[in-house]
Amino acid sequence: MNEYVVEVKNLVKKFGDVTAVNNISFSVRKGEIFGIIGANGAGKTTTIRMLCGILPPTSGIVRVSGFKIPRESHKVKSKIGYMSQKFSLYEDLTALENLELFAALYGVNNRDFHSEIERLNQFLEFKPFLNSLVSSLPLGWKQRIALSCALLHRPELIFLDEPTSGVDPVSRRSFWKIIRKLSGAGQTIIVTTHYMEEAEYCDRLTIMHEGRILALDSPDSLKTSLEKESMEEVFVSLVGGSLEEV
Amino acid sequence: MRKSKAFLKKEFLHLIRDPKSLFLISLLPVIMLLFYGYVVRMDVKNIKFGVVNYDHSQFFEGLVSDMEASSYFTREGEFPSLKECEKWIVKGKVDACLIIPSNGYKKLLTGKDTEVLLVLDGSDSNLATTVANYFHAFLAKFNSKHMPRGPEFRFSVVNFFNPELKSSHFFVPGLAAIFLMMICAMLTSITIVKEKEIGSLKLLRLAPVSPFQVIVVKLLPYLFLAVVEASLIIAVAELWFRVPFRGSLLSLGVSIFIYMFAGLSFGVFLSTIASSQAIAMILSLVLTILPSVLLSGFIFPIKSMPVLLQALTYIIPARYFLIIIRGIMLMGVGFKEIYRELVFLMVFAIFFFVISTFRLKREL
Amino acid sequence: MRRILAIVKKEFKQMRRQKQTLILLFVVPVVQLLIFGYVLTTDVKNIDLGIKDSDKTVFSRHLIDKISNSGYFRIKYVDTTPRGVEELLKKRKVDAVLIIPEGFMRKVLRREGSQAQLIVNAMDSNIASIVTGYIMRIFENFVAGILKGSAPAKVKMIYTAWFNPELKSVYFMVPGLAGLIITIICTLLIGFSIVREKETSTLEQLSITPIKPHELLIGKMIPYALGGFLSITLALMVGKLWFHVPMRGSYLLLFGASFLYILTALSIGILIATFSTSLLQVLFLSWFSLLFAIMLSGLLIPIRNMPEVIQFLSNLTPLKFYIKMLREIFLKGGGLNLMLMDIAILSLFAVVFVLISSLLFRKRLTV
Repeated sequence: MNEYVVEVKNLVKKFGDVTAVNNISFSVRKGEIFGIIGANGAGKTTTIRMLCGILPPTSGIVRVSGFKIPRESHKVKSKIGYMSQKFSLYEDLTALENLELFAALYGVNNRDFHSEIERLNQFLEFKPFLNSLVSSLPLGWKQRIALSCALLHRPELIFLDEPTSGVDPVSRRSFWKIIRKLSGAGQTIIVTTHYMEEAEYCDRLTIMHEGRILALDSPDSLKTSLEKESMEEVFVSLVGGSLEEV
Repeated sequence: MRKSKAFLKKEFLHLIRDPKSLFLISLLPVIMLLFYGYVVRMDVKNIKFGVVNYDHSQFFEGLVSDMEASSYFTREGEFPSLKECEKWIVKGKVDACLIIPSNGYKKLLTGKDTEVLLVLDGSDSNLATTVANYFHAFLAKFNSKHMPRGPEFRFSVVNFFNPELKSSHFFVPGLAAIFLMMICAMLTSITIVKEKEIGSLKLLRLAPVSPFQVIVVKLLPYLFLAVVEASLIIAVAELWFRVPFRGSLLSLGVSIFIYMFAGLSFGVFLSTIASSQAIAMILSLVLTILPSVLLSGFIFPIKSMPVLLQALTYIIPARYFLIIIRGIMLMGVGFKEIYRELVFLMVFAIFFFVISTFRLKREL
Repeated sequence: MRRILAIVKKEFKQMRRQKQTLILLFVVPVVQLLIFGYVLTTDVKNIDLGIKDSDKTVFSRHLIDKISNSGYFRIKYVDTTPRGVEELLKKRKVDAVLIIPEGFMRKVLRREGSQAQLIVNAMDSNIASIVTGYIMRIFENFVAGILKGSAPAKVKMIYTAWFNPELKSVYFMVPGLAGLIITIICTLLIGFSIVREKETSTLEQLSITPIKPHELLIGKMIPYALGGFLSITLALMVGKLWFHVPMRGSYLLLFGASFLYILTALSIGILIATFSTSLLQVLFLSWFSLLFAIMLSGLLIPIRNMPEVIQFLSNLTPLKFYIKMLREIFLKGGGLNLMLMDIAILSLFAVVFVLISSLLFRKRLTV
């Protein structure tokens, strides 16, 4: 069994004349928390969408869970979970109805569904909100429901695209505790974020800027090699440096 | 004053920098007028009929060939019996069956009236009524041509303002009125809501301008655009469809201006009560275009509607403008005949302008 | 299969929670039908007729009585010169003026012939010819009555109309209106639904799940198809029970045709949504195609009068064929053999539009 859940080689995505993702390569190990860090417009979301199989690459080789993208994208879908930064929930349905919908779409049968809800509730604690309309939920709880929708089918790979945007720091920290628990249980997690302190929580990360990878390593290694004390300083020096090049 | 000018400039810039909308607004109505001007016709040509001739005299053969010679009727076939012909009515192959009774001519010779029977396809009642009328008119001409002359009781008809009975003269101005109303309402209904949606309305709150100024500023560029638009439309009606223009350009110009003002004011009002752009658009569709098409007297005569609906038509601006534009273009009337309608439109415009100001004041 | 059902369930739940959708589906059609069923009549009434009676005899008064009793006209006595008639018409005081000449009765009795004059405001040429027709008929009957036996024999006409003997416009308009209403509902609602999902990114979320594009479309179409069905049933019931439009054909055919047409209307809505990124665009495009459908479907305006090119275009309008079928089923009571061609055409439309919309939807989904 390949230890790499995701393998990306020379991935390129062009939209007309604009190159959003410019020849990036990286791999993600099973059970890792892998971060893709960068400013808005760096190409993070485009990369994620290609890995999910909903955006066809312009060129490059991508393998997710052993399947080739884009040719076998369809087989990949049942193995991955995705949570977007907009939380993508149906506002006019209740939390429970959203969960039921995604369970059905992922082929989770009734019995498994109920046990999963129980299990997820253990650490997400959303039970009191199940019958409320999503539109009435505060942002932190929407986030938890959105995450649950992505986890119901126990995917081996989870994509989280800016999962904590707009959420208060306390909720953000508890969210990361949950992510670590999932990783501990053997699920692989790919996270994008532009919050530098979150970069510290990743096992390994890559820093993207204008479609290119500027660095690919663990947070500690990066800090040591660049002699910086925080990821924020690492980021500034790398990105600032590349800006000066231009 | 200077603040208003600054805002005005901003609104104009908005407009100019949005070439797609500009194109849509200016060219689209003209294109639609060109297209639909050909579509909206109520005259009937090419009436298909079948003959069941039990008489076989030359006289009635002459009647049938005279029918065919006229531009209105086309003979589709002769049938041995009414039943056979009616089958074609059911299939939709003929619009009417003409049955000529046996010994019809002989009866005429004895000095008695003879009746022919016209069986019509009633599923299209409009058509049927028209066919009956046309045939009746045809018979009148036929009778006077072929019958021995007796004392004549003639009956002359003068068709005023439209001697050739061209329906396009009637409908094209109507289409113009509708499209103009449409543009106005759609344009302005979007403007304020767009600002609501993107939140820039709150910015206005901070600026030291009164709601009145805001609305004026929002109206002006569109008013300008609408008048340009209107001129284009009238030009097309004139030059392409050759609708006569018997009145004065001045009276038409003033009327258009007031009508546009009314439309824009209403649009701005919708804009202040809608919570989203989509709703603003739906409202403008339902409340302006539909009534303008159906209840303004555009196609369906108001006098023929039930009294309740007639009352409803009094609050529809298009109704008044249709009277005005048809009056000016086809009848050549002046302000004297249309001032009442103009006054109503003015009141309508001012009313909604004022209400919008109050609503905006509340929002700000 | 289970995935389709999940989508269907979701759509129903969303529909139920949105009061506006329900109102649109059930209240609007009925209200529209009631109002417009009365508006869309080409029966002409309440014509203001000015009469200048220069004769002022028993005969002329008798003629005027006949005109007034016909029920079409509101009579006003006017005293004007022929030149003044134009002013009257311009001021819209009357729609037409009938001038009965001096010496009318005398000339009739002496069998000398006479001429009356009718001046019509012909701006609305349709009404002008109808008014002329009415007056002419009344006038001729009147003259014939006087000259009983001494007039030259002439050919007269009597008429009767199949399917609609009283020539009630309502029988003609209501099926057409019902067809139009269902078009609006189906196209708009599903268009809105899809674009709303685009705007809230739920469509993206759905496309990441294992659901296939066609499963998604089927799941979306089913609830709206059902809603549309209920809606048209309601509309047609109003037509039958309120306006008394006779139903002479088979209900099976009626529902079959409606089903095919609803599929087509939904597909058009999907097509519009596929190319729209905002609700506003959906509205604009829908309104545009609706205007086209209204004008070219034979609902308001007879198609036979339009230029050849436009008549060809009208054959590309599915609504035209649906309305045609509705009218035939209701009024002519045709059986299957009669409507084979129309059913074939409706089916063709349904198949073509469903295919095109689903292919384009799938293509656009993966962008």
